[in-house]
Amino acid sequence: MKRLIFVAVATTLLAASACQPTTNPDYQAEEKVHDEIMAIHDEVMPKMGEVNRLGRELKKAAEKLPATDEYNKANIAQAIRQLEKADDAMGRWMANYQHPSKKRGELNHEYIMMYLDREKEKVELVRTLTAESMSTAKDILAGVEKTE
Amino acid sequence: MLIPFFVWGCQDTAPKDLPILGERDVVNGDTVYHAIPDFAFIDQDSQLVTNETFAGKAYVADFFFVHCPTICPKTSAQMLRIYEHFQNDDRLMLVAHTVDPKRDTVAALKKYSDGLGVSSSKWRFLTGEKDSLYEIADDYFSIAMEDSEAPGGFDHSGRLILVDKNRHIRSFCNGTDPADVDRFIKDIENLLNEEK
Repeated sequence: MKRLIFVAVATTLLAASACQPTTNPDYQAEEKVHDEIMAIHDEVMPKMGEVNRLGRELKKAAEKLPATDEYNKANIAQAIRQLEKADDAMGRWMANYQHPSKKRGELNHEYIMMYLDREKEKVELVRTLTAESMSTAKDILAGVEKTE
Repeated sequence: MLIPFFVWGCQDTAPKDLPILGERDVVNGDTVYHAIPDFAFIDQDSQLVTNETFAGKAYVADFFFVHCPTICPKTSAQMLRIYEHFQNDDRLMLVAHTVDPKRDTVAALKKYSDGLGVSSSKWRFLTGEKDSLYEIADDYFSIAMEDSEAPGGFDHSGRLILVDKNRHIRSFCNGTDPADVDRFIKDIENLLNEEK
């Protein structure tokens, strides 16, 4: 019964949001920024599998290095931390981000737009962190392959 | 002209055994099929879940996380459809792996599964060591990668994977596409009938 209620409520909410596009210009402006934010999320999120894969490859590469090669080991450890930071930044951002409709009870339109602009900057930063950490990891792995 | 068409139509409706997907090797003259490797994770009730948990059963696997704003809610809705379709069939289980174990703790997964109102013995929500979760995702999605032009990101693609009682992958679908899930449900039924 509980599940039926959950599905009924979820379906109603989905139908309400999908079938009745808002005509309120404030809401439309908020939805536009929300969609831009989600587009960035959808561009970056599929890369998280590769972020983790690169991290695993770097860990294996570090294990193969002689214990005396402290410089390269430190370099790899730093690159792994960068990848983890990007992944964690995405996780934290997703856990905290709220759809503008959830803010409407507590904030007026102007403040909601400020909130959304800040969130867009945050997810853009996640995109930058992801791209940079992946690029560094790939460079290191290419260097390791050359020396093998 | 109609006869061959009619015959073809009849043949196509007969249930066929699902193929075993993935890479295969020949060892000492025997074909060795791709199989899901050993794993050990923790579910929403803090129970250890390994391959043994699914002994003698088929299961549908997917990867998700609680705070996912776009794809996961769609795939969870489709997983729920599969759950309800096979709710009283003990031959099938469902297993959802988080890819965000830092936030998706046992308590978070419990809350999520309670929110769906599903039985934790039928639908396991798994967490564990992050690299292990991603490693097994690579294994499940290795078969999907062969079939797609997409360059990667399969752990966030919404794919649902069907595994038989011998750890072989037998089918998969796009869990965001209800029509593809309809076809997948038929594949599950065919697999369960095949295994009778």
